[in-house]
Amino acid sequence: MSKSPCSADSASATALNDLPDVILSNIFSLLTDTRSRNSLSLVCRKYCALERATRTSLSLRGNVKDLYRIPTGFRSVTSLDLSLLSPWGYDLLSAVSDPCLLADGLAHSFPLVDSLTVYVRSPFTLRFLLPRWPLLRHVKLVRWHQRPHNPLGADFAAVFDHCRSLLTLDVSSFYYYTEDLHPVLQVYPLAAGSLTKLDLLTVSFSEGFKSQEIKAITSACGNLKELLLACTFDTRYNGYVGDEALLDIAVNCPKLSLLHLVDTSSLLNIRGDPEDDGFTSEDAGISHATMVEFFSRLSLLEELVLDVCKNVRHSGMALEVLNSKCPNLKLLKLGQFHEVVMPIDSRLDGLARCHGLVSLSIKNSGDLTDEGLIEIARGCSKLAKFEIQGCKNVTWKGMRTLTCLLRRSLIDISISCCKNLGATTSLKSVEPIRHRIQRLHIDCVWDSEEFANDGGSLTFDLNEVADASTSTQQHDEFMPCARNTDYEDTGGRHKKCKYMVDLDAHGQYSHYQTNGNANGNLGERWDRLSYLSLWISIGELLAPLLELGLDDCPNLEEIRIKVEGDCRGMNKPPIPAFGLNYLVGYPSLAKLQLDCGEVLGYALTAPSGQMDLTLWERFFLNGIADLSISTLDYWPPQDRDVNQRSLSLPAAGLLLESQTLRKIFIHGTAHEHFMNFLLKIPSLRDAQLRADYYPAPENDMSTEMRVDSCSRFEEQLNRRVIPD
Amino acid sequence: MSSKKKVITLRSSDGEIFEVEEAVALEWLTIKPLVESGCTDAIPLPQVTGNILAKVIEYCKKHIGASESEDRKILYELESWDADFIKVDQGTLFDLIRAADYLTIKTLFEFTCQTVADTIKHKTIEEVRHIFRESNDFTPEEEKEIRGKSWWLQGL
Repeated sequence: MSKSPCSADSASATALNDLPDVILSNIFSLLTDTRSRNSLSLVCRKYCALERATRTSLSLRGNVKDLYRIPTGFRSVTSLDLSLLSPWGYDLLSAVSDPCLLADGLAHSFPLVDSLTVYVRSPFTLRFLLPRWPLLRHVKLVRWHQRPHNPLGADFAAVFDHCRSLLTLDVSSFYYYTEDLHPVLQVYPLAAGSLTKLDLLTVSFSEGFKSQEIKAITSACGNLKELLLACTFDTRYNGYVGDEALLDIAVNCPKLSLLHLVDTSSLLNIRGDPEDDGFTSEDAGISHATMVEFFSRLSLLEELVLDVCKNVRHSGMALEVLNSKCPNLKLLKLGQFHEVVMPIDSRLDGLARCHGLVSLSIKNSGDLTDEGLIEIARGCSKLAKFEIQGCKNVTWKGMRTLTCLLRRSLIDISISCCKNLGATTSLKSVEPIRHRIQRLHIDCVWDSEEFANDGGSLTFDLNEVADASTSTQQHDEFMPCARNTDYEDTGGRHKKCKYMVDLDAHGQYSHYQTNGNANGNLGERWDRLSYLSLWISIGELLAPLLELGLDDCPNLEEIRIKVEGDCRGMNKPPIPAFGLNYLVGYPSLAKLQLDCGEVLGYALTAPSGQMDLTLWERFFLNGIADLSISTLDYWPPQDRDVNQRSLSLPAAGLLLESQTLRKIFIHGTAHEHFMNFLLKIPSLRDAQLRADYYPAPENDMSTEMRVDSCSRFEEQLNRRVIPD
Repeated sequence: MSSKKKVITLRSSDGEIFEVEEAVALEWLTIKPLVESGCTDAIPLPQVTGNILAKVIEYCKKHIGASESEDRKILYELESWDADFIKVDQGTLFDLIRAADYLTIKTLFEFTCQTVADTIKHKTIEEVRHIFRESNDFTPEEEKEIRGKSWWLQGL
């Protein structure tokens, strides 16, 4: 390996330390990850000084009691996150004896802060902390614990009292009542009027903001540029969002460039039923005329999310207006919109007219077909990101044509909850862009059998679609990939389909011979794939994934696995391990998120013949020690009856075998002696329990980790010397 | 205006003469006023050597007009062209940064700085020292103090 930088001709050339400090600062400011920056600060004195001067964003960890040792020297920091300090979820100031000293210390160390994130159990914290930075512009409040019994609006009053220059308020991870906000906004009309961003996409709501509240909020905050709001579109509820509320928003806040309106049922993030027919029993109270007026008034929109969860029928006509009325629209997400396109002839209609879109997400569109998808791909030819969820009529043929048509721009695809798109078919669909896709989500529904049987009956006529679109003369550069698609029936079980689909970078055709059983193209690399997200049903195994051709991912850094399902009543799985060890084949894998939070089971005693949660945890985590990952986020499975999400003995035992883990975040609770197991991991620097789900348990009542035990654990952890 | 493209003459520090189209030179904010004033003599660039200037011109010629292109194919090709262009030794890379800074060519400056930043990313302290030929000038106490501070930062 020629590691020496001193080759003959460069010996006299410029070295990095010959560059002027201004340029060095510029280079350093491009580095955002904390670890690289920490290394940089230890290189030499000059680098240290420059690094400190360019570090603008900081998230503190460690125990709040030790904050008298608050790091100094980071005087350029403008964005400060205090919400992850230990003990997690406790009020910053209640844990220390002198809150005043702590607040002063923070203000002194970070004088330039204009953006603050803080965990707030009571308005008291805000009253102490916020006056230290009178020029705060961005505030994010975090509270997963239940709202205390304060007067309405006490938290928000504290914010507006002290932050006179506030521009943005983010309460998406904050537990409050919808009634808390609007009275305060009316008391502080000046502050409310100057707000430019409100994030009210709060997960804790069961019903969300009522239409009357939305009216009050939007009329108080007329200058909003960004508004994210959880509400209900169900017309059976009082205060549902329908025509009137939509128009209130559009009339009161004409400057909006970003608007998210999300039904609270969607925020629960529970997977829908793929067998569902795609139509809800109720329709939303949103008329065609209102949508047109809504779009017309919000002409500055760049991002629009309408996750309605109730039928919006015949939406194509209204969506067609989007293109002309909102010319800057880049991101669009539609939930439960039907007839978004009408692919009758070659004409582009409806959603497909939105040529400027860069990111598109379609959820539960009951009648979207392959033809519709292809029309969208022809029309929205700039898409870099595409998400499809719960569209039962769409098959891999439509998806594959879409990725093929968009293969110069698409880098991020998510396919979930679509009846005809399991793992095999989803991977088949993204094959045309496998060398350039960066982020991918698929469902691990092992559909290979079905796919193989399906392989012979390919009657889908892409020729017609392609020829028709050629006549529009809009996208001929893409056409070759679809025009020559034909399917060759060779008979028998091994039916092959022959494509002429891939146009490489230089405009030449390359042939693909794809086998009907989906194992074709083995050995081709997913060169740029860096993030992979998987959904998998409980009891299924990971093993088939690699056999499907997702085996060669040299740059895959992060995997998220969400397991979902009810294991009560399930038999023991045939194999004792879920299959994490299969991930060993990804050489760059550093981060793993294993989310079993939606796995329900028996925490204490399971009926005979069934496994309780400790054994299920053993099943899931088996093999984790084989991976050389540095960061693990783990959501333990839960027992709703006893409201418990707790790390069990087998889980702790499996984790402690890891040699490489530096950080473990457990999104649940644990007993102290189980946590102490983790101290045996040689490289562990950081371990934290974060009960970041609603409602976070008040663990004073349980025998699990409390403040004292948490502190004891951290002291032990911090006493160790960890190599770099 | 004649349809013939106006050509600007540049002279590098080692006396080499280069000719570039006016449109290219106008992207270089440092010499833009000179170009606009209709200077016809060779513009001396005493801080840039001939071989570096040649690279700079190569980059700007390729990029002029293309960066704003809406055509995905062109952008895609440009991306791979850039990747090849930047495969140079470290000395040349730093010289390019200095030249881009001196001539105030925003696109090239950003691109080269990002390239260096990507090199440093995820490297250990020793690796960074080695790459940039820096030596450790901390006293053990200082080093310990800095480590103590870093400990507080999320994302270690």
